[in-house]
Parts: sequence; C-alpha cells; structure tokens
Amino acid sequence: MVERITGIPRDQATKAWDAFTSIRANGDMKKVGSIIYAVGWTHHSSGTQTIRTAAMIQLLLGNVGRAGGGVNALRGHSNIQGATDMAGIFDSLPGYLKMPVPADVDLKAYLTRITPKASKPNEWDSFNYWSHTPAFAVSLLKAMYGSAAVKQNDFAFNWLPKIDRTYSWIDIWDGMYTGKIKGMMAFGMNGVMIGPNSNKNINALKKAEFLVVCDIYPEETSEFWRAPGTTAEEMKKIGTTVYRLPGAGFAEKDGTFVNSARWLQWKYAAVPPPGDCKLDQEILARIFMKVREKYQKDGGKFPAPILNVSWSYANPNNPSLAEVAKELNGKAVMEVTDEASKTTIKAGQQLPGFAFLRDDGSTMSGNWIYCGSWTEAGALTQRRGTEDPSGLGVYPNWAWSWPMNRRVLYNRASCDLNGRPWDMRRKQVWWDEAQGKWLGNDVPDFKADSAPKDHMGPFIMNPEGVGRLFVPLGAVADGPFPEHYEPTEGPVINPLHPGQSTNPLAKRFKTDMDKYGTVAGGFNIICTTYRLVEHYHYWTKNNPMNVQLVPEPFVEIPVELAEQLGVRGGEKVKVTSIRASYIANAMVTRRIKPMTVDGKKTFQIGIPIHWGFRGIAEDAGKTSLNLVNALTPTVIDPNANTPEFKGFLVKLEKA
Amino acid sequence: MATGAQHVSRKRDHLINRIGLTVVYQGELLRHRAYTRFLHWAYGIFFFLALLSGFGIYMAWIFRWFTPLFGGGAITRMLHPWFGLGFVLFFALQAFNWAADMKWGPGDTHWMKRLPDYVTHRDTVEPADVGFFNAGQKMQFWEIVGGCAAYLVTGLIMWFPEIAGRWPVAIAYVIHDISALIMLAGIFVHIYLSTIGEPGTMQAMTRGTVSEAWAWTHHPAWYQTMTGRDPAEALRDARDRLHNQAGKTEGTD
Amino acid sequence: MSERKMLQIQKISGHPGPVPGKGTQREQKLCKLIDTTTCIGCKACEVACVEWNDMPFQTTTFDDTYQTMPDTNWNYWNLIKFNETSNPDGSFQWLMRKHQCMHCAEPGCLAACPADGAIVQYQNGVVDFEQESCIGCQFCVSGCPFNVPKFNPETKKVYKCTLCSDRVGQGLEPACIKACPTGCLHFGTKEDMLMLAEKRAKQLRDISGFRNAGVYDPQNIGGTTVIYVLHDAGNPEKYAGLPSTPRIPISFTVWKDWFKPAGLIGSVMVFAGLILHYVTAGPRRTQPQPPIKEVDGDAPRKEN
Repeated sequence: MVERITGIPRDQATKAWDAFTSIRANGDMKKVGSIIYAVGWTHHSSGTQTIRTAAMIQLLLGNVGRAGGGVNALRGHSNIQGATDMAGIFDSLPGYLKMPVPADVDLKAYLTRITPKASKPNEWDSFNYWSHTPAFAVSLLKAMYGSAAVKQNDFAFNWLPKIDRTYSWIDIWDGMYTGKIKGMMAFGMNGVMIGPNSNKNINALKKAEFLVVCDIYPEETSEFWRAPGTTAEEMKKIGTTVYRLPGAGFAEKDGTFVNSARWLQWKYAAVPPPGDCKLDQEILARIFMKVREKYQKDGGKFPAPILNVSWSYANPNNPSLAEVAKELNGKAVMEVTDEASKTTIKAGQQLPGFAFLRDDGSTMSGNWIYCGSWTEAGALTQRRGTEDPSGLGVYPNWAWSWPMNRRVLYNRASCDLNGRPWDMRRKQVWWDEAQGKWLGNDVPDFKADSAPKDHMGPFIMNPEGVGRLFVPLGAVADGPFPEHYEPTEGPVINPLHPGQSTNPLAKRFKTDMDKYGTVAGGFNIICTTYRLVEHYHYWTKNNPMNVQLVPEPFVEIPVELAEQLGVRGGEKVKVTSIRASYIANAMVTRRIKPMTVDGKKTFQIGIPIHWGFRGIAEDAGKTSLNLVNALTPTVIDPNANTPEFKGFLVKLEKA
Repeated sequence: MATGAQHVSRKRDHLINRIGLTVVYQGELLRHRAYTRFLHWAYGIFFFLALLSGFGIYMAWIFRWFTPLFGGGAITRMLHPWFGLGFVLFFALQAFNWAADMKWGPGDTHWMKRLPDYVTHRDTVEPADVGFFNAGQKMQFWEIVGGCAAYLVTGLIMWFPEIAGRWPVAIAYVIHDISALIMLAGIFVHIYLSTIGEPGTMQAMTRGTVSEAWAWTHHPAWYQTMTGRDPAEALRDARDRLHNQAGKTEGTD
Repeated sequence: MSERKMLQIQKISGHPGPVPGKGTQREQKLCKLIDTTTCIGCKACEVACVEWNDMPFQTTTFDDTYQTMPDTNWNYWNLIKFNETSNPDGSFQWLMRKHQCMHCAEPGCLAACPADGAIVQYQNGVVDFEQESCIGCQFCVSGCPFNVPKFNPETKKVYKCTLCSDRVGQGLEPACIKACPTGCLHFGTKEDMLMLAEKRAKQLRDISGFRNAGVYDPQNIGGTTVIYVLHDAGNPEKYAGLPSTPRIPISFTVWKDWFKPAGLIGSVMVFAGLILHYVTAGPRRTQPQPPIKEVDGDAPRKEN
C-alpha cells in the first residue's frame, strides 16, 4: 500500500526505514537519529499532521530530547523563528500565548481558558509549566501598557484585540478581495509574489483603498497596478493609493535573528541605510506617533490602547532595538524575590529569567521565552564563546537560546528512568543524588530538584508531562491521529479511503478567483515549487551577483516527459493551472523521475519561485514576466493555515 | 630578354618594367629586374624580423636577449605573426614570379646526385644544362614554399589559439619550430652562397645584373639562352685572353 | 611580513639559469582538499572568488544546467561543474565538482610558457601568473591538462586561480575555503590533507557503500596542490571531464627541453660549418680565374 501511494519501491522504502530504525537494534539506546524537514512537508493541506507523524516516530524511537535527535525544522528565513516567537502570526501572542477570543470576557476567563491544568496519567508526575501562563500573560500586558495596566483594569486585558475567526495570511488577501479589508501595510513581504494564486492578490490590491510598502527594491507588490496583463484603461480605474517607504536591508540593521535551534544571536549593522532609507523600527514608530497624535487630537474609536501603550524609548520616533530587546527580556516593576534561589531583584532591574515573572503586576516582560536573554549582566545574545567543553556541540556561551539557554529541549529524556544518561559518552544532563538536583553539560530542561523516583515526565510543556501519540480533541483542527490524505489538487484517488481522498478540513476559498483543477479538466501533471540556493525569494533577482549565478527562470522537467512532448532543454514551455499560466525555459533533467503511483505512471515538474515582473532579467526583457505563484491554489492547512504550494495540478506544453 | 618577364603578359611586363631601373653594363647580363629584387629584400627583411622575434619566443635561454629588440615580450609576440605574414605574402608574390623557372627537370635530379662535387669544388664550372636556377636553388625555393605553407597553417593556429584549440596549438608548436630550423639552416647556406661563398652573386640581387663570366660559370644554359653563345666556348676564349694577358702560357688547353 | 610567510619560489617560466633562492629551506607544501561527496553545489565559493578578486559581474544565459557558465573565464576562476550521470548499476548521481586551477607539482602551463617570469611556482605549491611578464601567446592554455588558464582578448593576458596567493602569503586560507558552508573544502599541508582525504575515502568505502571511493592526486604530473575525494576514483571523467591521466603535451616537455636547444645548436653548427667550408674549400669563383702565381709561397701547381 505504501508503494502504491508513494511510488517508492517497497525494497527501497524498507531499506530507508531499516537504516533509520537500526539505531535501536537489540534495544541499544546509545545511538540517535534526527529528522530534519523544511517546507516540503509543511506546504501541504495536511502539513501539520505530517509533522505530527515525525514527532510520533521520534517519540517511539526515543530520539526526542537527545543531542543529534529530535524533529528539526529548517526554517526558510533567518528570522522566521523570531517571527513566530514574537507573534508574527495572528493566532498567538508573544511567547506562544494564545490569542484572546470574544468569549474571554475578562482576564480571569481568558487565563482560565488558556492555562492548562496538570493531568497526571498513571504513575507520571507532570510539571505542566504552562501553568505559569498567568505570570507570562500579565507580564506581557505590563510590558505593553506599562503603568496603565493595573489590577483594577484587569491589567488592560480588554485592550487586546480578540480574534473571532482566522485572520491568516490567505484570509487577509481574501478579505481584501471581497472588500472587507480596506488596505494593507506590507513590510518586506512581497505578497503578490508569495501568492498563492497571485492574480487574486493583485486583484485584491486593485480593490484596496491604500497600500503601504516598505521594502528595499521597487517590487511587484508595490507595482501591482502594472502587473502584466493590466491594460491602460484598467490602470486608470485603479483607485488604490500606494505609499512606498524605502526600508533598510539586513546588513543595515542590528537586532537579533533567531535560528532553527532557537538561538537569539545579536547582529550588528555593517553599514547605515543609504539615502532616505530608514530602519523598520523608525518607520513604524513614526507612523505610530502620528496615529497617536491623531487620536489625541481628533479622538476616534477605542483610543485607550493607542493612547496608553508603553512607549518610553529614548527617541520615541526611533527606538533602538537594544531598548526593545531589554523590554522583551523584562524587568521588575516592583521589587521581586524568588524563594527558590533566594534572589531579590530591585525595581527597574532586568530580570534574570522567567522564573521571576509574576501575575500580580510586579513584573513586565514582552516575551517570556526571551526572559533571561538581556539581564543585568548585559546582552547574552551578543556572546560569542566558542568553548564546547562537553564536545557535544552545545556551545553554551555562544549567544543565548530560549528557554534559559537550554540547547536541547526536553533533555530529561536523554536519561533513563533513574536519571542516568542513555549514552554515558555523551552526557547532556544527569541526576546528581548527592546535590539533589539535575546537572548537565546543557541546562536541564526540567524541574531542577525533581528526583527521578518522583517520575516527573520530561515533556514539561504538556499538562500530562508525557509525549503525545494521540492528541486531545481541539489541540489540532483535523484530528487526533495522523492519516494520509492526497493534496487538494492531485491526480490520484486516495486508495485508503477513496470517498474522502483529501483532508476534509483543508480550507478552500469561495470567490470567483478561487478555482481548483482536476485531471478531468485536463490538468494531468503534478507541479511543485521550490527555491534555489543561488537566489533568495523575490529580491535577489535585483542583485547582479545572484543573477549571474542563475540568470533566467526555468521549469525542471523529467527527461521522459520532455521526450513525450518533444521539448528540448532551453526551449520555452508553458505551464498552466486552472488559475494561470507560466512561461519559462525548460530544464530537462534526469533528476526528477516519473513515478508509478496507484499503478499509473505520473509525472512531476518543479519550478523555482524567484522571478516576477521586476528585476534585472525581467527589466531586460529576458523573461515572460509571469509569477510562479499565480499557478498555486488557495487551499490551506487547517492548523497552520499554510497554503499548499508543494503539490497541485498543471498541464505542460511547448510555449 | 629578361627571363622572369617571359611568362608575363605584355601589359604587366610594361607596368612592372616601368618601375625601377636596372643598368646593364657591357659584359653584363640582366639577371633580376627591379620587381624581383624589391620582393627579395622585402621578404628578406621580414624573414629576419620574424626570425629574431621568433627566437625570443623560441627558447628560455635567449628570451631576454631578443625580446628587448622589439620592446618587450608582449610586443614581440604581437609583432612576430605580422612579420611572418609579411614574409609569406611577399614570398608568395615571388613564388608566382619564379614558379616557371623553378620547375624541376631531369637535369636537376642529376645535379643533386653530384652535390658532394659541388661542395668540394671538384669542377670549377657547372654542368652545361644548368639553367636560370640550379637544382640547389630550386630545392631551397620549394623548401621555402613548403615551409611558408607550414608557417601559415601553424602560425595561424598559434595566432588564434582560442579558435584553433589546445591540441592543434601543441602540434603546431613543434611543426613551426621544425620549419623554422630547416629554413634557418637553408638561409645560412643561401647567404653564404650569395655572398662570400660565390663572389659576383650579390650584385644580382642589388644591381640586378651579373657578369657574363659569372653566367657561363654558374648557369651555362641560361648564358646560352641569353647570348646565343656556347658557354664552354666563351669560357675558353676568356681563359685564352687571360693567359695571353698574363704573358705566360703554361699547361693551357 | 615575516620571512616565514614570504613565498619561496621554486620554478620560473622562460627563465635561464637557477631561480633566486634555490637551495633555501623548503616551505611545507600546501593543499586544498575538495570533498565532492559533501559538496552541495551552492556556489558560495564562486561568489567568494569573484568578490575577493574584485572581478566584475557578468551577464550569463540559461544553458539547461545549474552550472553558472560553460567553463572558467579570464574573470571567473572558480566554477562548480555539474554532471547528471547514470552508473552501470542503475544508480543515478548528480555530481558536482569545484573546478579551478589544480596548482600541479609539474605545471603544464609553466612548462609551455616561453616568457621569463610570467608563471612562477612557489615552494608551497602555488602556481601564480605574473601578468606583467605575460606575452599573451596562450601556450599555457595548450600546456594545461585541465584547460584552466583563460585569455582576456582585451588585455591580451591569461588569468587563472591564484590559490589566493595574496591571502596565503599572509597566513590566511583561500577565499573559497573560508566561504564554504558545508565544510567540504579543507586547507592545510599536503601531508595533513592527504591523511584527511584518505580517511574520508575509507569511510565512504567502508560505511557509505561507495566501493570505489578514493583520492584524486594524479602522480603522473607529480601530484597536485588541489586534491579531490571522489565517490568513484576509478572514473574521474564523469566528474565533468576531470582527466583520469592528465598529460602535458610532449611539445612542451620533450620537444621544448631537448629538441629546441638541439635545433639551436644545430643551426649554429651549420653556420660554423659554412665558415669552415670557406676557409677550407673556399668560394666558388667566376671562371676563368687568373693563373695562380703561388700558393702560400710554394711553386705553382698545374691549374686550369
């Protein structure tokens, strides 16, 4: 069945599985296997369940919490981890606190809903660290609203927005297309290129009242009004006011980037922004100051959150990221004492860690997981110690990782039930009976004084303390146990359950521009999209060095398919989905092979995403000016709301 | 009549002969007209320029002696093929000029067999059938024609290596050398025989004339064609006159 | 710059006599190890080379490959060459090989070069072009078994990878080594790099199933400063034309070293021979000659 679904010959799949599981041959616990994945897994309408499956495999194999093990995401940008940590997505607050919903009438209701209660299965004790949610949430509110957040007003809880539905990336564009959203501010996000279904995004912008773009190049989003195919008459009718704010590039900004290993690494600006370009924080601050001024003068709907936000930077029009980083770490608002360590933090001092956070308003912290990154000792994120005394690659003094500089999460699981490391040659943490606490070459991700005999589960962020093979209802939108589903646009009927081939909860959209292709409609080739090493998303097409390395867009086609169509490498081909077309050079290759799926020979083609209608090659007339993501479908995973960029249907012909 | 002009049309003959002046004194014969002489010196100069510039590139031992003559290594390399081209082009004109006179005949094969006698001066005069050019000269002429062809092909290859390719250059490298060495040896002999090795020859290529005595000594058949006289007879008469002038008669024939 | 860091010359092209510093203490031989089995073809090394050497960006065209351009150029000295190859056992590999000057122990370019000082080989193995002395003949292009040196038609000079001799001379590693993100490029002494390479090749043979893995360090040209670890050392050609037996054309070795001098001496001997002829046999005189009165004071002989 696996061979039938995946097209991978049985013997080869078995060989891979045997290799991976061989680490536990004869019950040996010393070796470790790692699973490293990227958007090839997540850009699917059942992406979350795929990651769930990887987690289950690693739990079953005992690879979690082990150095060299785990489920590891290769993030697509240098600071995506930072973006999610800092709630760059709509459904969380900084530190992965849940967003309030309208039913959370007050702080108590909110905290009751989102703070898990310990549930101790069988003989396991659980730490249930999310039980400290109130401290994290109140500290966040204190950071946001400062002295205006007091016990009397529920620490200004009701000033937070409450989400009544999903406001994901794709919902935003859909909202703009249907007229519900009036405008957008796009900072370093080329939404027209990202798509999916770029033409819908372009048309959405044509309907918007305003668009503010902050970027380092004139890019497609800010020039949506002259996307190829827009006639002169149409252009005249576009009423969108477009503001282009010249921003700063990565080498012109300081601050922190957070990588896949959760290290916050402070970076320095190499050069100042050129000409009129400004740093992101300056642009946002000045916009905010003007908005606040307007609210002060003219009033407006619900002014309290705007007028009372804490904004005590040295230069309110241009806060330094060092000031912000210190805010994120947090400080004591009033004197705070920690009983366990017998430490007292004076008011105004930076907090040493999230163990000091309180839910009574005596502490503030912009992001509890970053608490400990900028203490009274200074910015630990700036450290560059290259020592690795254990030889495990821990590098404890290089920058600072959350939480509390722990390098491997759940590292209690690297020891057996008695607190003895599974591999004595590679000791991460261990229980020291004499001192009555956990020690380690890494910071123990555990309650320091919890003895092994007390059976506290290593998965301290779960209320039950153990890893989940079966998740509770509501934890994921589409089901407690993973199942194979075909992509929304696919050539194969799911052999496991032909009646429900695709993820039943994958969300589709309902406007006239949301179309979905089928094989019956003539779309018989599987298409996937990806990136090249030589280019970085949508802006290196402006950089001569990158353009030199890979100058023109192309479509990768298997040799057999090319022969069938009579296409030779270098000729132009046209890829068409039910939504749009894409014309580029054919690269005929043996690296992509036809596969036998469900007994049928199926072909897949691949298209790198990097070219659009503005760039060096584009401006020189060397490309068709098409966008790859005009091809991709508006269907998303119900948990992460990630579009299905990696598998959809097209047809292929000579251009 | 001028031999070289025999095969040239009257019109061309007229034009060429209008350029340059050759004065033929009594007792002399017209050997090479101005056009011929001009070509000879033109390609002679180019040959030497090509030779000297080529030497610079030829060997490490002599690179630093010859390249300063032309202003350095890069200029030497740049000029060398132009010198070579000049040599080949002017010699090509000469080849058309002389082709008829350089045709090989049975007498030439015989002459070559007698080469050791020529070198040791066993006979003081050439065989009666030696015409405008003797076999040795013809040999050298055709060697230079072949050599020029080799130069042209291999030289162009090395002049445009980007077009020719790496292995053609490596092969041309050797063939160009071989052609040069053979031609150099030949030119040493040629200069020797045109100057001190055979007195009276140099003026053939400077003034364009030679003495009748030179003619009946070295190219008897040509003397006969030019004067109508039997060269052996002319030689006898001349010798008699000489001996009579000397006032001594000893062992004459 | 301390004397220890100065580059010691080993060989100079087109140069008569011994090189300066001959017989001085030998520096350690350098080595750049390229492990093709862990190269991901990211081209960071290409970019580093262009940036370090201040070379201009070029307009390239799509050529049905990930390879940046068909071959190195006068202003592009380092190129990842890609080759999709099917093996006899049915397996398929996308091979990537970092292509640049190999800095051979017996450089074909240096052997072919006629210009004094245009190509210099240092004792540490670096083979460097000195463009001021280059005459633009391009014999080095023919001499190189790897087709590395490239001609600039405007300046009429030839260029290639310098092994970052300017960096190496100051104790730094070449720019490509510094930029490589996977660590498939290593730099150190030849001894150390060979050891590392053999260790890796053994690992590939014993554990990774590449039974023919080995090290590419062609001995028929005395070995090279740049060595490769290959999955299939018996078949270097499939790594985009890496020659299994790199050869310097004998034009630049046997012919140049033996026959050229012989030819020159031969010509001189012809010249001497002619002088000898003149003083022995004498010239061919126009006849008739006047009768001889005497020869060196002796009585006259019968003469005609």
